[in-house]
Amino acid sequence: MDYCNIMKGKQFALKQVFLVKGFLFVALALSRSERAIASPIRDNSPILGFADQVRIRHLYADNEHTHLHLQISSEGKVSGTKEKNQYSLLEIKAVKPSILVIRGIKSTRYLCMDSKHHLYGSIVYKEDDCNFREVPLSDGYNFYYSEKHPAQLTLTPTRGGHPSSKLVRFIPMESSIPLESLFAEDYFYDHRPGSYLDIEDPLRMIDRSNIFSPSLDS
Amino acid sequence: MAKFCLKGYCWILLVLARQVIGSPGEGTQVWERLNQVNPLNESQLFTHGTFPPGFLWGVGSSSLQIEDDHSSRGPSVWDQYMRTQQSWRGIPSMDQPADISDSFSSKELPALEFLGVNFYHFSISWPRLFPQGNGDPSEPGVHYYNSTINMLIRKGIQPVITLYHWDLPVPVQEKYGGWSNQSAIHLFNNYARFCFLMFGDRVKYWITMHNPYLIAWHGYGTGLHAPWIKGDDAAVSAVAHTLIKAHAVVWHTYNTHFRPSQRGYLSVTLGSHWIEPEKRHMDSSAINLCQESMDTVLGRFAKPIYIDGDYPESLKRKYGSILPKFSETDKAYIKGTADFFAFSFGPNNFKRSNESNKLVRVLIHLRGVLNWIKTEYNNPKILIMENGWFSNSNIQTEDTTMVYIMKKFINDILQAIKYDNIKVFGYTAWSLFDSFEWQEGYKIRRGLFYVDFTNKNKAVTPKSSALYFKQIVKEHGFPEEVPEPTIQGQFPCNFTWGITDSVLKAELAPSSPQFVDRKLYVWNITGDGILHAIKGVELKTRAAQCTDFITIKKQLALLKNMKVTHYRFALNWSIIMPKGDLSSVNRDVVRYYRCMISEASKLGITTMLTLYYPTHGSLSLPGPLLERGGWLNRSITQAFSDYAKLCFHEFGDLVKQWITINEPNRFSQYYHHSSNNTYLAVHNALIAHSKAWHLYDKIYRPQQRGQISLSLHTDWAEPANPFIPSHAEAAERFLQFDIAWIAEPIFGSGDYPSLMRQYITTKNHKGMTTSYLPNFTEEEKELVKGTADFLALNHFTTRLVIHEPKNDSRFESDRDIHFLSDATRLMSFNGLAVVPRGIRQLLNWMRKNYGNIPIYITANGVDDKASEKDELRVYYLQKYSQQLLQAYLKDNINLKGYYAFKLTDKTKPQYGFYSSAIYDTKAKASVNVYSAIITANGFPSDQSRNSCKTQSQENSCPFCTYLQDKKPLIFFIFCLFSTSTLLLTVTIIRKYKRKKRKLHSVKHQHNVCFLIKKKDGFSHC
Repeated sequence: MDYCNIMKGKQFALKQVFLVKGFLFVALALSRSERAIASPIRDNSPILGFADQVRIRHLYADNEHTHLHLQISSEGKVSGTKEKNQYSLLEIKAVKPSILVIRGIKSTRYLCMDSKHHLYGSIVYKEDDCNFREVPLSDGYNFYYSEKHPAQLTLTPTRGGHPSSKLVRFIPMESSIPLESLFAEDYFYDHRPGSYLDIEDPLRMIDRSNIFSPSLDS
Repeated sequence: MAKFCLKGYCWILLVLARQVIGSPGEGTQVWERLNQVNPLNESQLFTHGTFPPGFLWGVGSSSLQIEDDHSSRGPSVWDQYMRTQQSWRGIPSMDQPADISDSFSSKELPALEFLGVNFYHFSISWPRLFPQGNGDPSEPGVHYYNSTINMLIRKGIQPVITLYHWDLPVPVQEKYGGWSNQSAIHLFNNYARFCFLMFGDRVKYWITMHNPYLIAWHGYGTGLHAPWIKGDDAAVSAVAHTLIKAHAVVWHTYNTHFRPSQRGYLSVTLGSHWIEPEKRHMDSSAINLCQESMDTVLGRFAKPIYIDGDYPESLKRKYGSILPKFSETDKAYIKGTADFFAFSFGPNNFKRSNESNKLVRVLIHLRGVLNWIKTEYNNPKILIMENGWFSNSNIQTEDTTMVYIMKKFINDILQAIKYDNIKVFGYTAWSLFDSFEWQEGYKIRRGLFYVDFTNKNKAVTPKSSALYFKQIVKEHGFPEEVPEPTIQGQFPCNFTWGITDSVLKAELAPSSPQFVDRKLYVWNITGDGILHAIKGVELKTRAAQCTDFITIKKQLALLKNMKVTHYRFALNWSIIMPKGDLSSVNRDVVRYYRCMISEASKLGITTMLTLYYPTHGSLSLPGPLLERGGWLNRSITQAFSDYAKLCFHEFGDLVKQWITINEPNRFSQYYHHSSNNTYLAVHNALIAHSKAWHLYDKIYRPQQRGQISLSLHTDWAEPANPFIPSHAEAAERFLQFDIAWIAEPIFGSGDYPSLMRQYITTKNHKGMTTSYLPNFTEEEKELVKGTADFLALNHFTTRLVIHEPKNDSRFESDRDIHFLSDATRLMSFNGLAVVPRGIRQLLNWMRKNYGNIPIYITANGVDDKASEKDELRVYYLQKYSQQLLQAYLKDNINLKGYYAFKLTDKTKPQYGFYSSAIYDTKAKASVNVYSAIITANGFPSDQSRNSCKTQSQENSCPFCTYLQDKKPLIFFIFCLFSTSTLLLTVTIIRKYKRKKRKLHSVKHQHNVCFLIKKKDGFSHC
């Protein structure tokens, strides 16, 4: 009876699969629980498809000629930069389905588009100007459209080559900028005495400043 | 083997067994090593301990500066300039003859005895012994130095003598052209030979000349020193060349003719600055620049004399043909012409620094230069011949800055001896008396003793630095300050371990749209990658839940990971009540805060809630209140009371500890234009707090049973100068003006501290301020008094306080103080000194003044630049919590809890235990350290035995906790198990049924089955 034996074999294999799967789950659960003890649990939702609702990314754009990262300067100018820098580090947050708000971390300005389709960095959030619709493409790039104005987020290379070759396809890239360098210039400033030492207090010990309290620092 | 014997102490120098430590050019390693130094390493922290036995303490001066009578000697090149300076300053001329021996015995000698030094480093005046520079010696001159040396020896003070400290006889300059002429060498040698002959029997340490670099550079280059010649590098190099030769000749004279009988040691005092690459330019080009700079000043003399008779390579490269050359005979003659390394480190080498380079910076880092000398010159024995700084001429005996500079210098030397094995065997503090300071004239003062120049007969007075130096000499260094061993033990079992956060930013809408959006979407249906809502489909949204807020979940994960039991955060008044009254309450924000509190309590984390918490950026008051003058308008007290009522009502069932206002004593930051504003704002804040307290006490406490207080910024203060009574008064006054100002009305009398009131009144009478400290009415006194259930202290650092009268009407000026930061203390980037014992002293001061009230430390922490390995915070946390344990166990302080400051950084790494959200709120190293302290509840001797743990449920039933934690997993496994069992059963049943069927068929169809059986060879069918 061939049929009879085949069933038996199948059943055995099925049992084995269950057993292995069970062990795997237990092992997985154990390993996860250890991780949970060691570090804060990340909000790793499979539905959202990325680590957090708020992402810290560089918006990388390229075409066949060049590549740029979108940056927002402290004065609110929006431009492209070849190299990633602290001004190209952006906070991307979803506010509605498909709708994002993008904000420069160093400049603390929102990426916005005015009615003439010019990009600018705004200190205050304006819903009309500062909402963008993210449209994923099949190749992993995204388009970004202003929610209100009929225009697309576009970067124009300032120098060299093809002035017509505007960049419209973006990839939100993970940040590789170490935290220290984000505030590098603050840290290189040293309170300790400098070259001018021909003074009574070369170690700069006299402190006539008012008291500051760290607890107000926030 | 050579023996150094002085004052009974013997130094044994193993000349033959010397190990090669470094060689010229290798000094660059010092800067490379500097780059890797960890400021928390024991070798970098202030070093307690004593100097090696036999270490020599001395004080120095030079003949031109200290000798009183300048008429009885020949003229020196500095005389004319000195006279001009004296007449400018109204200093009586010293051209009238006087008995200088008498002056020495009545002024210098008692001063030396006062300090208790082992030696006196002074110089012989060449023009006093030889008014013409050569020829016949002056009899009174010889007599003067003979009697000086004899008096010193009689008092047990060794004379250490410099032959030439810049006072060149005028004839030598005018007839021969001074040091630019080689014949000066011969004259100098004759003078030196005479000195050895006359005094050498009693002098063991001889110095040929003081700081030849300055003689050449300022005397013949910049023209700042006599003989005021301006010249180029070539001229300077030529003079330096002559000086090296002159030194070598004198050394050979001593070595050949006098050492056999006199057995002394001879060297030349070389001075230098110190220079380091800027931190961001720590590369070879900057390091080479530093090396060149050191070689130009120090290496130019030290390398020929100590190593090989030739100039450093970097100097040859720099100057090329300008640099004179030593012949081979010269090299052999010059090499090795010093018996020890005599070193000078003082302000003269830091003047007019020509290093205006942005790659490097000049520092008074004595330990650095000692390491450089060690590496370059094969670890020589070093005698510091001059060290000190200066104060401005207006400073009299109260030279507090000098005390701390001296502390830094001498501790640098102790560290160099202890950790770098540098052989420093003696130290000269510079100088004994205030005096003529070369090109500075009388504009600066360098003495340990104060001299009133206009009245030469007046006695000299020891300055604070003299008292401090005397103490160091007496104690032979820095013995342990009351040794405080770390103790073992635990805090009480119900001790509160918490973390402080500032104003919590409320998430205004649930993060995830899925809970509020009723539409259903399909994605990419037309290939455009866009979500399309399906028309006509309306979903039910879920009822709002606290879990909708992602930020809450994240925040609590951080707290749980840290193992804290308490969480202190602040509400945002201006967002909860945008109009400042109950007409508009932002319910969403209230709901968010309530969610945070309730979710936390589900995890067993109790909340301490702060109602009002202003920050650097803003007062955080509701707009309309701000427009009405904020805390200056009395009506705010009612608004605050309404706000507090709302909060008690909304959160009171869950919150048992309340802070009304955070750090009202820092309102001075916002109300700083006049002291009256500051005082009024704080006055209103006190009333507002009291109203809130009474409200809670009457209406809410019966049900809610919580406690309420206000948190104070309480940094500890110490007198900067321990030798001046006014500093001790200033320290106490600071505590009264800063802490008691708030604490006294509430925990004490109901009124402001009397010291504060009196001090301001007195200043008012003197016309130094127009400040007015508000008065409490009797009603208000009753209202305010006793309105706190515990002391909430925010403590971060300890400050050194200096008394300085100020004439202006701002809050900071009324108390007449300013601060000083001790350069030897460990300090954070933001300038917080790490002084752990300060917190214990503060707690004792609090109890002394306000009794044994329960105390919570509601914020304590430090800024650290590191984003992950925050070693400074770890050090701070361990040391401060250790001091708290001592306060609890040894001083019986009623300490109830500790809140570390603070949970997360805002942006860059600062005070947070976790980094900012920009970088994923990563846990820094301090998180684990803090949770370990929490788990152990202190520092128990046996980590595994926690006396409190046995009572808690967690330990009694680890399995229960495990089950609790793994509920979903267990459920899943159960499902898996039951499904597989079901499947198994079904199969077995089916199999069984089939078997039965088969058996049945076998019974009836024997032949068929038999056939199959045969074919396959299966037996059980």
